[in-house]
Amino acid sequence: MASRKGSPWRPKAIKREDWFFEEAGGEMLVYNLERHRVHCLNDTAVLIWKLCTGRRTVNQIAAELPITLHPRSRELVVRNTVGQLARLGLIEAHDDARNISRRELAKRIGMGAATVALPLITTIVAPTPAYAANCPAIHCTNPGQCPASCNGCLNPPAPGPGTCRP
Amino acid sequence: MQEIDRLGWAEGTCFSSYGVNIGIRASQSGAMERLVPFLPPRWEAIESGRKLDVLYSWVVGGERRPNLRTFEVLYANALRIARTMRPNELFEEFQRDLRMKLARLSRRFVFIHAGVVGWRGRAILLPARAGRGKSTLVEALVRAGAEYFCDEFAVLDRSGRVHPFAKPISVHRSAPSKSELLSVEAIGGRTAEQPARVGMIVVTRYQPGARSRFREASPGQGVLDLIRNAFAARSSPSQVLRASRNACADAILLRGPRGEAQQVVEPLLRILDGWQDLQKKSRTTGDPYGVPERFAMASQGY
Repeated sequence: MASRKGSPWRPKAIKREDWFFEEAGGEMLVYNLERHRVHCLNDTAVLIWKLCTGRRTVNQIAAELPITLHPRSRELVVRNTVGQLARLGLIEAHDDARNISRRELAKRIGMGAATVALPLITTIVAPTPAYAANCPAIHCTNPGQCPASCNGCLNPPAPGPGTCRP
Repeated sequence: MQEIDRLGWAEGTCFSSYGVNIGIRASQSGAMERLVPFLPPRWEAIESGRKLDVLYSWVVGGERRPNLRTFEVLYANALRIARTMRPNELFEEFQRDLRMKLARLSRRFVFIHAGVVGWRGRAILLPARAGRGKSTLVEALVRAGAEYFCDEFAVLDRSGRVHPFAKPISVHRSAPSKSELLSVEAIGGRTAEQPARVGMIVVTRYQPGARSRFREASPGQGVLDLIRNAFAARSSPSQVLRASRNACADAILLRGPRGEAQQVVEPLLRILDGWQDLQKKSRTTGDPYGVPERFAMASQGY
């Protein structure tokens, strides 16, 4: 991990060979094979990630972003996104990487409407096979009610079938 | 497994469905015929030498001697999945387990937990967890003239097209604890025979008394919604990611709660028609259609 002292941070994207990347209409889907997480980067987040070549500072990246914001706000947005990307392992880790919530960010920028164009990274956990399936025992509330192929039930809704446990 | 092999088997067969090779053996000759109605759609017999993905072993029960009845027992590989006196229970468990195996093991297709219907050559996907009202909405759409694909699985190929998986619609109408099987023909519908490109993905959940409100989501969010309901998301991530991405490529994606199924059917079909018209226009004129136009169209009537 690099130090805060010395030259300014030049974030560098990591294209991990062992993860899966797919683009979908300007957005980027990333499958993290180690943790079975799927991340969706919106177009602004993708742009920031692509600008992280290891040659630009955060300020320089912010200057290249097509967002109509005050330069200081823009830098805050980029710093926050880069921090998130670093936390996800898509950018080399650094001491300067930090995270603030999206709400906090919108508050600091002071523009509610600007949130539409802000970078957004959504993450889900890839489901296990049985988690996606219908529980065969209808309205089951404990594993004893399920047949052998079901290993119990998660959050059985009412009314309706529960969800099998992996 | 060796202990099961030693039990002695009178007959067996091998078949393939959606790229999964399945073997079944029974301890009594003539018993296999009773399982045929419970086989999945698009099954075809294969030669017995092929490598099997799963082997079912059925120890046929019944009355052996007066006052002596034995259990019907079914194994999937080495795991006992049913032990019952009632053959129908065994058949249901066999069918359920087999569908799960197809969804998990298929190499050529990606199975998403979703209801699917076809409308004017395009498919409408309704991905959701159990108990969210998929089957009810599928039934309402079929009654409105949509082609039936499946109420439980969206079977995607690599290019993102969705294939039919014909099974009766399972709805919980009379009592929450009892499911009712509806034949598509009985409700005046017809089953699709050809695969279709996805035109619309609706991520919705039934909320009694709710006003239906849908917002358009981005393609990336649509991909996440499909992966969230994919059976093989962990075992075949690249395949699932690619098929989901391709499925979302030309589709309009709507998210939001819904009220009664009958009330949303007509607006959904209207939005899909409008979306297809917009795409056709875009293709002929070469003008790209932007997100604001899409959103404006999607929000019509809400």
